[in-house]
Formats: sequence, C-alpha cells, structure tokens
Amino acid sequence: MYPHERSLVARMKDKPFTILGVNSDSAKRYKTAIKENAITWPSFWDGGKTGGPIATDWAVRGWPTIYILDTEGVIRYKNTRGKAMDEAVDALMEEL
Amino acid sequence: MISKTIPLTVAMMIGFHPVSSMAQGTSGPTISEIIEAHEDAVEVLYEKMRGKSREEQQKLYKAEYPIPDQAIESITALVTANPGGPASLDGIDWLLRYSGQKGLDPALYDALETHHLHSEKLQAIVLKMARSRTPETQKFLTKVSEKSKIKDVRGAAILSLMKRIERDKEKEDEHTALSKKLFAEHPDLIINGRNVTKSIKAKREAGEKLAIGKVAPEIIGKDVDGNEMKLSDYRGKIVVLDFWGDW
Repeated sequence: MYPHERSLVARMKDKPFTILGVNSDSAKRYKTAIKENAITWPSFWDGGKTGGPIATDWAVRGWPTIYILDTEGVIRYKNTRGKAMDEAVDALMEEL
Repeated sequence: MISKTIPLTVAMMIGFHPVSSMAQGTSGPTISEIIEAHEDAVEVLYEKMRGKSREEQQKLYKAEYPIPDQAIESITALVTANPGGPASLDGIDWLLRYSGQKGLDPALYDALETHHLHSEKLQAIVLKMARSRTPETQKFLTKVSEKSKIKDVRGAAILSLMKRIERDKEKEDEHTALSKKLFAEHPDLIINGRNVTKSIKAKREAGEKLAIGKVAPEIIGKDVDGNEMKLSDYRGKIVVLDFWGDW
C-alpha cells in the first residue's frame, strides 16, 4: 500500500492531484504510522475508530476503501488499487 | 486453587456419562445441565481474568477456555435422541455459538424442520445461522423463509440468507433478490427492538448517493491536530479518497 501510494504521489508531484485519507486509527497510532511510512498526504481523522462519522456516512464496511474523484468532485472509480489505480488517475489526468 | 478444581469437576461430570446412555435418556445430565456446567466453567475463567492485564487475560483465555467438544457431542446426541423435546431448541441455540462457519451437524437441520419449523424460538436460531457457510445451512434457511408459519421467523431467515453473502461480490444478484423479498414481505421486521428492514433500506440509499457518476457528498472534518478540513477544498484536483488504517 504505502510504497505504491508514495510513488504515485511522487509521479503526480506537479499535477493537480492528491491522496486524501480518512484515517480510523487512534491519534497515537496515526501519528506513528505517518512517521514510519513517510506519509505526506493529508488525512481526515475519523475519531480513532472504524465506526467513525465519516466512514459511517460513506457506508464503509472494509478497509481500505478507495474512491477516485475527478476535478469536479464526481465519483469516477471505486476500490481501484495498484496498477489499476495508476491507470485510473492517468485517464482522469488526460481529460484535463 | 478453587478456580482450578471447578472446571476439572465440570469436565468430569460431563465426561463420566457415556454419550450412548444419555442418548437413551436413561441417565446423565440434561441439556440445560450440560449448558449450565459449561457456562459455569466459562464464568470461573472470566472471574480469574478480571482485573488482569490484557495480555494476561488473552493468555489465560487461550490456555484455560473450557473446551466445549464434549458438551457439543453430548448435546448433539441428546437433541438427536429427542429432537421434538422443548430443550432441544435451547441445545441447538447453544450449539450454534460454537459452530461458526461449519454450521450444525446436518441431522439437526432435519430435526429443526420436522419439529420446530413453526416455533417462535426458531428466530434466534436462524439469526445465529448467518455465520455458517455450509450449503445445508442455506437450504435450511431457504426452507424456513418459505414455510414457517411465523412471519417474523421467515423474515429473520431471509435476513440471515442475506448476511451470509453480503460480502461476496459474486453473489450480488442473489443478495439483491433477497433484499427485494425482504422489503416487499417484511417492511417492518423488528429484531431486538430495531426495525432492521428500515435500517437496511437507509444504508442502501446512502450507497446510491455514493455511486459512480454522482458528485461525492461533502466531508467536513478535522485532521488529527483538530484543524478543520473539507473535501470541497480539493476541487480542481483529482482526489484518491482513501479510507485507511494502519492495522
């Protein structure tokens, strides 16, 4: 997970792109995780538990759950991971 | 040392009565006695765990949790010997606590169908069957959902059939068909005081808002340091929204 996300972020460095997390860890664990895994992208902090308010609103039942949104905020892909995630982001980038 | 001797006594109590003699109903503990003895042994362990550190508790639990095998075997035999008896439903209800994905001994489904199909107590039992993955369970639940005379038992059976497959992406169509049936026939299925049909519907509507092609609902939240942030702050960027945790 993390290495792939880091490389995607690096590749999109000068482009209109971000990973935006919604994190369900305890505050302590979250802070350790971002340090240990060199996570540079922002995250909402969802109250320290998997049943947090954002995950509940988004009916998240499994982690990780991923949505890819275009620049207009429209949901374009769901649970696209790994290579498919790269391709999805590239395809959206080409629309710009 | 009391805590050590009690579970041992319990094990002996259960172990000393050969299954065959109990099956004939001539002697030996009854279903409720076996359950009670097991629950007492579990209670003794919980008593011992109280106040200990989490690590110690886990260690104790692993090492000393009373093995239910003998009780399972005895209760299965007793239920099989007298499947129509009032205690057999309690016995099966208890067996389901330990049967997990494997479900019940196949013969017990027949016992339930023959003797308890129209009992209200079957509801608690079919709800517990949601965890079981066997085809026998599915067959049984389907039968209950169609044939039980008790409406809320039929509804609970549909619910369990849905729960068994809710995470299975290949069975989405089956899940949809079941939920249609639930919505149509049991619009107000109450379980433990909760209207489960309504809550499933609400969840589904939330899911539709999150479909591909819909504008993502706004998120207003905070980062870990308490700074406010909004999803719409990132308009103009492609966003990989990642619900994650480091576990």
